[in-house]
This record gives sequence, C-alpha cells and structure tokens, in this order.
Amino acid sequence: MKRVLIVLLVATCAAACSYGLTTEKLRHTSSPRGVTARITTSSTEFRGELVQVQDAGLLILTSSRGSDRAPEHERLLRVVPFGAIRSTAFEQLGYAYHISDGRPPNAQTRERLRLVSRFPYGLAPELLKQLLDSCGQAAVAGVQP
Amino acid sequence: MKKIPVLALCVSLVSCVFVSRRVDIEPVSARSPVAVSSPVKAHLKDGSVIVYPDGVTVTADSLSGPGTRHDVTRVHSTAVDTIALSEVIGMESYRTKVNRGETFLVSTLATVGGLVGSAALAVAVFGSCPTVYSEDGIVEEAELFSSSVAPLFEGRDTDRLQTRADASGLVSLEVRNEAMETHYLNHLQLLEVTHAEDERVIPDARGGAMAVSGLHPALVATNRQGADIGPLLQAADGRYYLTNREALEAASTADMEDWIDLSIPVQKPATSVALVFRMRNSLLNTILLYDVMLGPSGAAALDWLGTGLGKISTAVELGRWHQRRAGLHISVWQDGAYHEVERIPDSGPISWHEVASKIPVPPGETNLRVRLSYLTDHWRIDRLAVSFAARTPVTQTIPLTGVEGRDGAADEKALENMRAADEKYLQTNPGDRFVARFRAAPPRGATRTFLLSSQGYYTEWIRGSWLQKAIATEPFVPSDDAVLTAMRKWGETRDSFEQRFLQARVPVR
Repeated sequence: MKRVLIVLLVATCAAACSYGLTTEKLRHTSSPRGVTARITTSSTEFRGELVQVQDAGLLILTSSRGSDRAPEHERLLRVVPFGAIRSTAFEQLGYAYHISDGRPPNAQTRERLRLVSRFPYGLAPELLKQLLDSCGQAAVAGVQP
Repeated sequence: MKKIPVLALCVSLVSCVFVSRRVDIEPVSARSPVAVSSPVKAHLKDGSVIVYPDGVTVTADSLSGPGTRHDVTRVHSTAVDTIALSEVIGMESYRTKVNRGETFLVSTLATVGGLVGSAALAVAVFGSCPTVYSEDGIVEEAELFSSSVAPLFEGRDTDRLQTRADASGLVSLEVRNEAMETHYLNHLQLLEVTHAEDERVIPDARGGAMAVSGLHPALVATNRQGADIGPLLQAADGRYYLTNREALEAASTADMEDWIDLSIPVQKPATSVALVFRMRNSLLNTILLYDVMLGPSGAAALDWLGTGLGKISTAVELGRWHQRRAGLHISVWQDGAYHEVERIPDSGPISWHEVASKIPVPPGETNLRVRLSYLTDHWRIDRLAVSFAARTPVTQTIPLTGVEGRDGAADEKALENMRAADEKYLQTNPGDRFVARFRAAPPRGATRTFLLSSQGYYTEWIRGSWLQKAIATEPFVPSDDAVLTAMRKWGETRDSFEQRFLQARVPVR
C-alpha cells in the first residue's frame, strides 16, 4: 500500500509540473521530413535532414557543409559513418539523441534517432534510387568533399 | 490495519476529485471509425508519408481525416482524406510524457502489417515485461514488474536468483525484451543475504527478504471441490496445481473465485507461520490485457495507453480494480469467518516465482485454517510449504556496476539510467538485450543468496490485427464482466495458448 501512496504522490506531481519539450512544440511531429541534424567530423560540419539510421552510420540529405562562418551550400545524400562523427546536434532534441567521439550510438539512442528520421521503417533500394535521382547523384556520397 | 487509511485516501481521492473524469476517448460503435487524437504520421509502402497533425480516424480498412501526403522526395505534397490501410507500413503517434522533473517525447508505434524485416515481431504473441537470465542466457531467472503496464503503475519487484557470484565476486545477468513491448527500466540492484546453510532466503510479498528453515509440506490442502491436492504441492518438481476445466467453465460474475483450504497444526508457542510458494500466473492476465483491454479497442488503445492511463482517475480506477481482483489473497479463519491478512501480487506467467508470506496465528489456535483465494485459474502452484522458523535477515545492497550492450561494449549511459530509482530510464524495444553486472564480495565460504530488486514499467505495442479488427463500442472500463470475458476466452484456448505463447518470444540473438 505504501507503493500506492508513492504512485499517487508522483502522479500528482507529474500532473502538476509540465515544462520542456512537448508534442505541440516539436516541429518534427508535423513535418514530413526527418529532424534537422548538425554533424561535426574531424574535417568539416554537415547540416541537413536525418534521412535514415543505418547500421554503420547516418544517412543525411545535406543542405550545407563547412563551418558556421563560411558554409557551402550543397544538396547531397551522404552517409556519415559513426566512426567519423565527432559530435552531433539534432534540432530541438537533447542529450539523449547525441552521438560523439566516433562511438556508435547505443540501442536506445539508435531507436530514438530512427523514430525522428525520414524513413523510420527503412528505405528500399528503389526508393533510395528515386532520392538519388532527385539529387542528381548516381550513388550515396561519403564524408569526403 | 495499515491498509485502511491508504484505502480511505484512495477512495477519498477518487470520490472527491476525480469521480467526474473519464477516459478521454470518444465512444465508438462496433467496427465504426475510431479517432486517434494525437498527432500521427502514416508511412506508406511507396516511401511517401501522410502527416495528420490533429490525429486521424482509423477504420477496419482505411485511415481517414485531413492529412497531407508528401512523396518520397518530400518535394511534392497533396491533401488526402482517405487512404487504404493496406498501403500503410507503419504509423507513429506522439505524446508528451511528463516524467517528474523532465518532459520528453516518446513515440508509440502502431505496426499495421507487412513491415519489412519484422516477420518475427508480426507473429509474436508473447507479452510480459523484461525477462532475466543467467549462465550466459541458459538459466531463466525472473520476469520483472509484470503488472506495471503504464508509467503510473511503475513498480518494484524482488526476485530470488539461482545464480552465484564468480570467483571474483561478479554477478552477471542478461536482461531481454522478448515481447512486443517497450520496457522502461529505472533501477536494478542486488540484495545480498548471508544466511545459515539450512535456511532458504525468499522474497516476501512486500518486496523484502525472508529467511526460512524447517520447511515442511502443508499436510492438508484441499481445493474448492474438496479434492486433496497436498501431494501435488509437496515438491518443486514442475508438477503444479491448476484449476480444473469444469470450475473454469462454471465461473460467473457472481462467483469467479477459486480457492485452496489449508489446515496447519500450530507448533507452540508460534504466533506466526510462513507460507512459502513456488508459483507463477496463468496466461489469464495476458488474455485480459490483449483480448479484452487493448485488442478490441484497436486504435483507441493508443489513446488509452498514451493518455487514459496517464490520468490519475483512470489509473486509480484500474489499480483498485486490479488490487481487488488480481493476486493471491491469504485469509485466516478466526471468530467464525475468514479474514484477509495478506495479498501476494501477480508475478507473471513465464518464470516460477518463489515468495513467502508470514501470517499471524490467532491466540490459542492449535490448528490454523487458511484459505488461499484467487481468480479462477489465475495461478499455477508448484510448491507450497510451511515454516515456523522465519526471520527477517540483514540484506546488503549491491548497486549495478556495469552494463554491456549486445555488441559486448560497455554502455555507460545505460548504467547511468539504471543505477538509481530516479527520473532516468533505460528504454528497450523488442529484440533488445543487455548484460547487467554487479560487483559483490568474492565468495568467502558463507552461504549467501542474491535477490534482484528492479523497478520500471512497460507499454504494449498495438498489434496490426488489433487495428483492423477493432470491435469495442467504448474504451475499456475495469469490471467483473471484463474478467469473465477474459476467462471465457482463456477457457477456449488455454491448452494451446501457453505453448504458442512461449514459442513466440521475440528472438534476441
């Protein structure tokens, strides 16, 4: 019965105190795209949309590459291997979504990122080809310019 | 007696504050549209996505409502009103989860069918909380917080472990998500008890530890029909007592209980006696959850799980109903009637669970009469023993010291999430597993037993078949009618369902 009291107390507190990110505030809930990502590698920084979480890295559709001061516009599908990622930031999402220091995300972070990607249920080869065609690419690019 | 003020508080809370509140789901007629009020995205087979910012209506074969369909490139978009369910590979809905000081976003998946690479999930009917193994996944040890089906039901479980520490004192356990559920693990720790060689340490009904010795069978044990079931309960041998089929079929809302009567000669000058059980639940609870509480509601179950059970009124209503109906109730005969003295909570249908309960012996009583009552066919009882030498032992807490992911690498974040009972959780999905390590002292020759103390909750995934076959006319309301419906369904399938249930675990290796 002590548990009931604790549950009621916690529930009351939970109902009373609500701040931080909510469904209404998160733009991803009403956007057809994946969440906006900023991915820093040892040589550059990519900005763009998180398209898919793959086994070995993140598939992104870039909007720019380079530093904040001198970004170069580009629109390319790139795979950034986890081993190349120095740090990440995902729009409106916090530490629980971070990848850093070349380490692959743990299962929990991977699952969270999958759910905010454009294709949480995977990307079939024919659909990837359509995307590549729309970007004027024959194949997915890596992290090199 | 301590329960009375708490019960009074519950009643007070419900009657004074929340009585006019109901589950926030619109009533629906049979097989008619069900509205999901949360924002929803529907991913289609052709790579396009439909965004429903204000939710969507789900029928048996389509999604309808104002949405915007974006093609695979997300360049072109069109307005849509209706889309065939067969075109949908998966849906996401969003809700804000308030978690004490932290608010964050969670996503509930509704897998509609045909999801590439998820064949194993599609056939899974297994469902019941995190499972724990030792000896490199060979020995089944426990299942955790099986009744905690929503955040407000977050609970703590204590389970006796068979495993021992290795030569360096390390205790390793593999924790798996083998169900179509999302698990939220808040806290894992070990309780270490050093005890005499002839003692057995067992969790008590309130999550503590009890050391018992001099265990002997309850000599006289009869079921409700008067049959002697004592021999069946004497040994932990996998030969268990279960309600017979006739009794299950005879259950009604006016009478849905089964019971076992015990007669225990009292060893003077004992003032209490410990009953020690080895038992597990039947799959009646699972049928209740799948086929009565969630399945018939279809898409409405998304709202019920996501919003309804987040309300104190709904949670208290369900909790009080569950408290009254579930578990195993122990009553002692005194002054011409049985009086309930203890309730052992449900422990889940997968692993045999040992639990002890110390009950009072009325003054002057020489032959204690005890009744164990429970919902018909709710328990499988393998062993029931009695001890007049029970004590509360000293326990030493051993914190979680390491977590390894499925790739064998240390997972510091998971360790941080489960090291304390706080606002941080490790979330796992079907097929996930990890190894939890605890650093105890190296074995010193003394006899010791480890108990696993865990805290968390889990949420069910909504099956595609539930969306397509929803028949409920209104959201689930706790009632005895609901239990009886579950009993009827359970009675039709119990011989085959258990076999299918155990075979359909989501593979983790």
